Amino acid sequence: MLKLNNISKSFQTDRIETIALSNINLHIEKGEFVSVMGPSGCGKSTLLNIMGLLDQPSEGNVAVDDKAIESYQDKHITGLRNEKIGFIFQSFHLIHDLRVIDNVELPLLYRNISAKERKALAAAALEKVGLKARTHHYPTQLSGGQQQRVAIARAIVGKPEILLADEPTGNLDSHMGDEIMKLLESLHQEEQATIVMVTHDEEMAKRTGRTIRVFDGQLVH
Amino acid sequence: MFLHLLKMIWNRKRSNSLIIAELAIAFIVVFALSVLAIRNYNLYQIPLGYNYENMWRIQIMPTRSWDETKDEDTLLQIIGAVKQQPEVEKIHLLSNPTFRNWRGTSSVTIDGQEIYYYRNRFDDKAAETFGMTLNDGRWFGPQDSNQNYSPVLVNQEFVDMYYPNESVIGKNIADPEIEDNREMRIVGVYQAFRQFGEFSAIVPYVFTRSDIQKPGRMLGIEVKLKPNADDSFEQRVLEILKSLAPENNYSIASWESQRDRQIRETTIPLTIFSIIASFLIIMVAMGLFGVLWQNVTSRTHEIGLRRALGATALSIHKQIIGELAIVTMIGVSIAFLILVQLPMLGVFQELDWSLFWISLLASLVFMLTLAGLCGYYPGKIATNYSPSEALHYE
Repeated sequence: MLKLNNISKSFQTDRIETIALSNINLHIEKGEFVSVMGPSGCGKSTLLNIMGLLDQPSEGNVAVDDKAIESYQDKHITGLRNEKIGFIFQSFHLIHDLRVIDNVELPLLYRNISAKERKALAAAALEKVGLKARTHHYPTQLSGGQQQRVAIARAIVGKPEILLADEPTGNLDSHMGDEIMKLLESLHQEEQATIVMVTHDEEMAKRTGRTIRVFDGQLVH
Repeated sequence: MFLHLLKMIWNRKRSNSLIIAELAIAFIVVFALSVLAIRNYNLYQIPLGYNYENMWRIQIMPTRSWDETKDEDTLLQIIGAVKQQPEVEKIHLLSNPTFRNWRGTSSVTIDGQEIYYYRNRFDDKAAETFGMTLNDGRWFGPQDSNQNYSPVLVNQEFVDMYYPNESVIGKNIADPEIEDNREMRIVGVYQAFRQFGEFSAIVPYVFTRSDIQKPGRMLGIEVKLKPNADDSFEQRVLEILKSLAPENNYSIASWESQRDRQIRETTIPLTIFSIIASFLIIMVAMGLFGVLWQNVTSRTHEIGLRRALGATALSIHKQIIGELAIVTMIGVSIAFLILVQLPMLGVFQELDWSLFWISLLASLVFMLTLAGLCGYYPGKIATNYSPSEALHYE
């Protein structure tokens, strides 16, 4: 489903070149729940950004559904991101000036979908994450766990093929973190969602089907 | 997407209110400038109704009280002497000079209608010499002498304003409330005589007749010189006048120089106002630019998020410009509600509905262009970040 072939990524500053990823080869199968672990600064988030087409590799290529992405043209990439990938971020990235339901329907704004259908899909996604009663609240009126549920609803509203979660429980206490993990597990088990999750937490990683370890920008087997 | 933008603006009403207020004030300034510029441009396009080339005015300024018999003789001598100068083609009398704000006005009520007009006097044939156009009736002539009525000429504006779709020839416009008032019979309608120059409003204007053989106290002599007249004319005539009546003061000026002076007097305040308004608009533009820059910068995460969720760089740019266009329209709408009171209440007579709408449209185009220019660069910057950079922006 998602293949990373010989991926390297370096960041160039004025004087030094930092190598974030080096020669990564990775294959994510449909329906897998994969966790990515490693110490801070090892390149986990960079790896996730490249998998999510948020960033371009310096070398190598990413293939989605066996189609290698060659050109990285903005229109093509944004279309893929919108339809095939759902993002869950550590800091939720909700727009505080929009109500919960408006936040959830954001990905659908960039598709040719009527407002009525958008609302219905967003309401269904919120129901799935157990926040139907909070539809018209603003994000600041919700707890951290609830905000992350809204972010998950936003990630799944467009029915993407893969969910990429960057430390989804990192900003939450253990209780709320557990709730979010249960939600991801249920999405994986009940809806066969493909999930790649970056985490620091060994316990969380154990609950996934496969764990990939990254150290100094390289995969550790 | 439009509804989404409206929702965003509404939910950010507190932070948008300052920009909206700034835009509303800027719109009012731009509107005022547009009204002045368009009105003056329109007025400038309307013909004066006379020719000012080669025309000169000799103004006699007595230094003592006027003696009806003695001074009229002196005036006749002056007219005769000027007429004899080789450069002089024609000579006439005109009470209130062109391109100056000397004015006489009258107001009468006839058949329940209040008639207000500006008035002036000139002699027979003056209209032809000035190059005026007759629309109806005739000019003054010898047939008007020794009659029991006073002949008057009215301009087309007078007819359009007080007697539209009516023939006015033969009408009496004397004040009926004054007993034994002499009949003022309209004998002709001329197109225009814009005494106060190109930037003056079109007003109802009436000429009464004077006789150059009996000038009375007509102290303005209008002279038409032959083309290519000698420059020495002014000095020579002044010497002749001083020798004939040294007790008077005199001024001699061409209509052209008076016109230039009047145009300057009108355009200088306009130019100063335009410069001040331009500075104000530049300040507003800079403020708008700064606020937008700050606004876009503070929304970098949001922009990164939208890019991650499927927005193209172009759609983000469109969103920023679109939001700004909506905010501008809200500011303009508030200003409109204030400005529309002016023609409704008739606060400024000159601001009619046609001028109001044209100025409004011109100001709207200007403000949207200004907002578009101010929003373009911050919008461009916002789309330069990759989604991951924008999401991690601090």
